[in-house]
Amino acid sequence: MAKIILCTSKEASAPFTFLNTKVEIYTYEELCFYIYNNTILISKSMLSEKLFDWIRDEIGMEDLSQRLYSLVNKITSTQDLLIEILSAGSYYSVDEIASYAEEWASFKKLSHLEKEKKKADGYLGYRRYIKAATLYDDLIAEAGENAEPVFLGNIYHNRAIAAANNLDIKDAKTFFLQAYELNQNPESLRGYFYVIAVTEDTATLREEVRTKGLSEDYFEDILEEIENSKADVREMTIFAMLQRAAYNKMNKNLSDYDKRMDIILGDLKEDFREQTI
Amino acid sequence: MSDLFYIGMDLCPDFTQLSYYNDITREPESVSQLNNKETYLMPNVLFYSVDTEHWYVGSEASEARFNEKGIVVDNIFEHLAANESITVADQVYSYEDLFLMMVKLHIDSFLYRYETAEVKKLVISIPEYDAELFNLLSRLYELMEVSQDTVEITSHLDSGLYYIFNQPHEIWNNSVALYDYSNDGLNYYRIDVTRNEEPQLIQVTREDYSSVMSLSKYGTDVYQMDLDFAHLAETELKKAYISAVFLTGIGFTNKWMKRSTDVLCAGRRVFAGQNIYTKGACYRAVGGEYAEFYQDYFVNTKENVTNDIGITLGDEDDTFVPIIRGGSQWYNTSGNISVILDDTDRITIVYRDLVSKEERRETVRIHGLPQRPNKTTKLLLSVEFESPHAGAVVVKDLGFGKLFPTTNKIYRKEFTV
Repeated sequence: MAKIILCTSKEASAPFTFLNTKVEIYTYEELCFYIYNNTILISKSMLSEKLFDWIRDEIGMEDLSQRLYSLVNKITSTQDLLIEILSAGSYYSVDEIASYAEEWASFKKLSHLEKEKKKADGYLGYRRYIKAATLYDDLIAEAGENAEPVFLGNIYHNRAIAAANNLDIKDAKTFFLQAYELNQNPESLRGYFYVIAVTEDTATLREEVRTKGLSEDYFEDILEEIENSKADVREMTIFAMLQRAAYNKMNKNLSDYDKRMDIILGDLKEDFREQTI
Repeated sequence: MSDLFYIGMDLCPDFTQLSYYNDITREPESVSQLNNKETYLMPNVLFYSVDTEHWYVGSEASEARFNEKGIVVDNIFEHLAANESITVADQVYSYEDLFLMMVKLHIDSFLYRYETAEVKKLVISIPEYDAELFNLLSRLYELMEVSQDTVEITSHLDSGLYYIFNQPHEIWNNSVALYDYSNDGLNYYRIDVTRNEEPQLIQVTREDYSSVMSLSKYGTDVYQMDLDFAHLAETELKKAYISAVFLTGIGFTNKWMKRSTDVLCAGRRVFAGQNIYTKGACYRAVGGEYAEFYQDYFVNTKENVTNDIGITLGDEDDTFVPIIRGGSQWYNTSGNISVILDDTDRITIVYRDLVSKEERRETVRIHGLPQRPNKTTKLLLSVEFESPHAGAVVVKDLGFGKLFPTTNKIYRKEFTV
């Protein structure tokens, strides 16, 4: 049902950071959203005094903080603590919290490999590509050749995404193809062509598409998708800055060019560093 | 520890009056001039002494100008409107700066009488809302080096109500009349109190008689002024059962009322004084029990907002959440709330008229926001007024922390109520 949620707790001046994903949280609502969608990435050690103090001091929910303090020593389940947090406000309805609990119960019934894949997927979602890649590699090794092909194919697919985002082009192509062989999911094959489209020329892409027995329309679709993505990139601040830097270089304003390039490279390095931690 | 003062200030073009809250008598007390205990009207004049290199204000300025070499700055209100500047001791001052300096010096001249004194709250009462004056005075807190909420600006009308409704109950048991006879002419306010309806109502009706009665019109002919005022009062006082009359303004200072005194006093209590507005402002500065009438009654004046404005949450109970509450001056009314959209891109704004009890709804669509997961679009909703009956609900996209950054998009839904 469409409705409006009133925010009643205050916004933190200092965020709470989930160290494994580097996600910074400023409000109770953000905390709930993160918990609801990333339970797999939250270990009991994260539900510590640091979080409870932050809830009390930064977002002003003293009662919740007290309840968590009293619960943490009595119960062992991470889930119970998380549900206590979710239930303290109106961001999630009673029904939503109930289905969250059900999902959690179903999650517990998953195999070790399935649980680990979900965790790796979580890291992938937060662009922790190196961490995700390591987990996928472990999963591939652990699953072995006897694993269910679609499941294994999906692991390869996500491993390819992690590789592509780390500019491991060769690995990305290999993993997408392996993924497609196993899961027969057209998205995996498409991923393979996307990597080719952004790393090779158009003629090579067309040849690859033909080799795989696909039509000219398919090729055109890939090109259109890439063009759309490029249009999105042109909207990004970093792109505007890069353009400005190039313009200044062309006009021999090298000090401005250097300054802008330092900022761009600094941002990219910072971004990469965050992935590795 | 410093003495903390609640101060009321009546700021008029020619004179300023101050009062402070005496916490022993629990009443505001007028502040007299430093060099003349008989008068409470402080002239709005500045004097820069070349001898001492100091600025003086009010009666001290009036005195210093005859004893020391320097420059007099007067008619500050008039120059303010003309947006002029002046050079004093090789320094260029805008009249805005001089005006704020004058207001601050008036306050300082009171505070300096104590060893350590600070302003807890200052309410400045100006004749009526004026955007430029309001904006200028809204900067005073910076000059005074106090927090923004230490200084409030209000109108004579509001201060008059604060004064009247903090008098003994029997005085305002029935309707009350307030005559304000300033240099600009005569204004009449009838204040009716309705207790047998919900909400209980204080209704203020204003009649502008400035074209009929003004000091410049009569000059020295006080006999005619008395006759005209008596006639006018007789007509007005018949319209309601009025048990008390308040007279204020420079026009009532001379003893010209003879026939009109008979008219006014027939079965009524009559109070005349020049400090109604400063003391009313002082009551407002203290707040608490002195502002209770605002809780007990809906105060309907020409400058108060008559609507609660908010949104509905769209839940089963159709919960109404106010962004602003009606009943206060439009220029002192603002508010905001933060909300999150759940499975919708629409907000339903609700206007609740507190007098007629009618409710009006308007649904606005928040378009052009990026695709985000459900419940990750947070909006700041605020209400701004440009008059008692018109304003805008402003919607700002806040994103969802660092998870989904804001677009900084702002939407305005203008309204009239």
